Amino acid sequence: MALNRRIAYINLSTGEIETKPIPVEVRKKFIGGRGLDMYLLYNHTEPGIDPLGPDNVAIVSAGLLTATLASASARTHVGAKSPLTGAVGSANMGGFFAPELTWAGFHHLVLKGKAEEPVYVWVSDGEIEIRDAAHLWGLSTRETQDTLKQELGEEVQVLCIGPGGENLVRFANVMSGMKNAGGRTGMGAVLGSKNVKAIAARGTMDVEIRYPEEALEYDHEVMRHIADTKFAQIMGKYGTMFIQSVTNSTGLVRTQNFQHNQLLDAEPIECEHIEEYGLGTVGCFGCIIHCRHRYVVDGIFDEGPEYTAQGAFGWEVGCNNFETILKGNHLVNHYGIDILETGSMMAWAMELYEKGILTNKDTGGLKLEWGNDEAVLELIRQIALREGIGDVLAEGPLRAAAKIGKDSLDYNIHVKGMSNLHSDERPTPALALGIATSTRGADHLRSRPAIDLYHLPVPVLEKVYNNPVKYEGKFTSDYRDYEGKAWQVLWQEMMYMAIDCVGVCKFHSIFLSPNLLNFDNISKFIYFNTGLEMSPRDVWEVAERCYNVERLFNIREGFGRKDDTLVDRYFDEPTTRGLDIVRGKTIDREKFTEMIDEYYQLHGWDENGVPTPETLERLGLDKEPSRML
Amino acid sequence: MAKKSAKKEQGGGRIGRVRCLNCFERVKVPPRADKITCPSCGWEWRISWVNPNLAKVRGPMWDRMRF
Amino acid sequence: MQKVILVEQDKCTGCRLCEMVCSVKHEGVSNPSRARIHVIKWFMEGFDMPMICQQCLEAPCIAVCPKDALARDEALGNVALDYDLCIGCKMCVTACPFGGMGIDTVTSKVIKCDLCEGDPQCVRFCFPGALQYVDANVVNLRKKRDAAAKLAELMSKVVAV
Repeated sequence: MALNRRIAYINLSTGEIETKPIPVEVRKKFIGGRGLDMYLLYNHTEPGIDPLGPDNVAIVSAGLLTATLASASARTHVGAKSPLTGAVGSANMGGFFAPELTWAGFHHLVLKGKAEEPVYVWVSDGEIEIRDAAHLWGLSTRETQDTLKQELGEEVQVLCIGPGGENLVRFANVMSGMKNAGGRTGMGAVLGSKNVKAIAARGTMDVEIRYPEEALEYDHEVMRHIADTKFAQIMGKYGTMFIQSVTNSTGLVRTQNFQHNQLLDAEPIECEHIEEYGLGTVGCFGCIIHCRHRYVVDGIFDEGPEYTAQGAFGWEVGCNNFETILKGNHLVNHYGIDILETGSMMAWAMELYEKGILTNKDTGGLKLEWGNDEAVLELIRQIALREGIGDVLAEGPLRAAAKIGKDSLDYNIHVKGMSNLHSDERPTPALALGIATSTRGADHLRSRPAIDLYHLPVPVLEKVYNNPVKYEGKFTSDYRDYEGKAWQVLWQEMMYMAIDCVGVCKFHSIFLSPNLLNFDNISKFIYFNTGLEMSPRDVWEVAERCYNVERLFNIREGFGRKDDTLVDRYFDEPTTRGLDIVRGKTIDREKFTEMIDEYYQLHGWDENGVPTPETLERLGLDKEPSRML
Repeated sequence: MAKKSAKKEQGGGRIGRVRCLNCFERVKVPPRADKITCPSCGWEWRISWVNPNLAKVRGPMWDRMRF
Repeated sequence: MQKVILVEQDKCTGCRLCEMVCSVKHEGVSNPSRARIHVIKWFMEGFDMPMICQQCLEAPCIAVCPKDALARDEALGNVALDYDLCIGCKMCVTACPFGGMGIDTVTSKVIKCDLCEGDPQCVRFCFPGALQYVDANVVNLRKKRDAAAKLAELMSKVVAV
């Protein structure tokens, strides 16, 4: 039964391990997964701690419905205070690790303190051990996993860091399998700072399904529906790279670090080219969309690439060579660093180089010119190993800018110190609002209302966005408008939080298609698999509560309204390319401010973005930190 | 989640229909066509086929896209 | 006409949903170690192979069973296990060359695929079509058609003389 999965507190300094059940009251308040991780983070850390110090807490978890009949129930979440931003650190990945952790009897692992020597954590059927990892330190993410599988068995799943995490690259990731990456906010560096090289799991314990017959029927019905959508068919063939067909074609991608919003002559990196290198698509646990490719390039075999890879080593850096994307994807997987941050930092460095703020002296002769494929691939290595200019860039936007000095920070595209995805939100106010207010910094996965781009009729938007809570304002189909977008962003925050709490993949939710999982589905999945009765409105309320915990964490760390904004370039520099409908666009400062005002008001926050006492009381957060778990 | 839209069934299903990225009109794609011209705004789009029944916009005619 | 589960390896995406639904159907739990089907993965090489009981005609498991607890059910086309006769000696586990017979560690019984009495759930949940439940007389035609389609694409490039 998912409800009898345990939480483990692992003190790496003392070696003590304590496991506890997770009370149903806690489940009803926070469900699990990311939501519960954020509650644990808020309760087990003090404000102002060093994210790379022993007082930070790293929480690795499966969602409530992981490994149950709930569509793609495969996701792992990692939470900690972020060494990149100092705000909420939160990363999510697919694959097979979280199901294995669940079958091993656990949903949450809370890692505290710091091990004296490199260790790995071994979780198997209710037992947890801390083991020596001297022989793993220094290995790539793939070598680490191969070695552990040889020692512990082929069926073992491993979550690990690579050299990036070991070198405390502030945007190092955690990885599992070939490409499942918990990429954002530098969770790999947190594990590296604790000397934790890997967590290995193997589980053969039952996860009882509360109503097996009904769960089978309902899951099948949902999967049939998903499989029949256009979206699932397109994703299943091209992966997330299909997004580029819409965004670059329109002029919604950031190229040459914000100087342009479209890559011309992008034909060589259109997603259709994956067919020349691909060996079919594969999927995460339980997923029928199977959106990731296996490919071979230069004898190297890997999985991916995603839309982010296409941008990071494509239009962001002015390259239009498909093999650079494939090779770059492999290198970041190998070293264990966030592909998004890496690409965006490189694009920023290239603009600085173009403007003479970085010179050949700074880069050791490496020519950071737009379209220089070799330099791009070399720079990935330098960042991961902290060599040359890579050592500076490995610090992330704010610290790197402080080191480089001059007006370098003015060129960086970040929010709260984390780089943005390679999208250009100047024509799309809803997407701009999303990245400005996201709790983990510039982030397209906390709240992106991507369906805003599809120009859906207002009745369709109403059907999606007025369920289960109604918006009193108006929606508009046009993605260039500001009206109604604050609610769309809020709604998506709730949806992604709910999905992350139950451990299901966002691609199965209302994210890139309006026809997928909504709150009704989540409510039913919870009921059939665990017996917990939570109405769609209850699920929404949990999501709201968890999102407020994230907000409270950030406020406690000193973040406020001043940080819920975009860099000046969004307001001052008009877009230069693309279809007429998106050309010459900036974000209107006044309208943006009004959107933020409405966004805060809809959340029940005051004009500084702080949850009001009434909101906290309504959500049962007025006594935080409450140490329920 | 939303039920299949009746409008889609009326229009002959989803087979070979794409949305023009410039004016958002639905455009019917002839089977196996590799490009279409939007009857509403005149923009040309290159087409790729996910399967014989499902077309998608691949991209614009790049030589037409200048700044 | 008897039906068989046809495994089309190149369509398998390695998602292992079949393992989970098998264990839910039979035991009411999600636990792949209690499933009758497994997807064997070489994940660094990129090869996923669903492995099932082959429902052999001259099954080694039937031959070694000291209590005749295993016998062919010609209606369903499977090798059926009678738990009333089974003593749990596990000779069948040793005899099967495919690993088709497993041991359920919770009940200590031996377990094998029973085709879900004619509605195999693994097939039902395999949307990519790597597992199909087809009449025995079309199995090879299905595979031939898929192979011919690959050739057809190539042959269409050959200019007729």
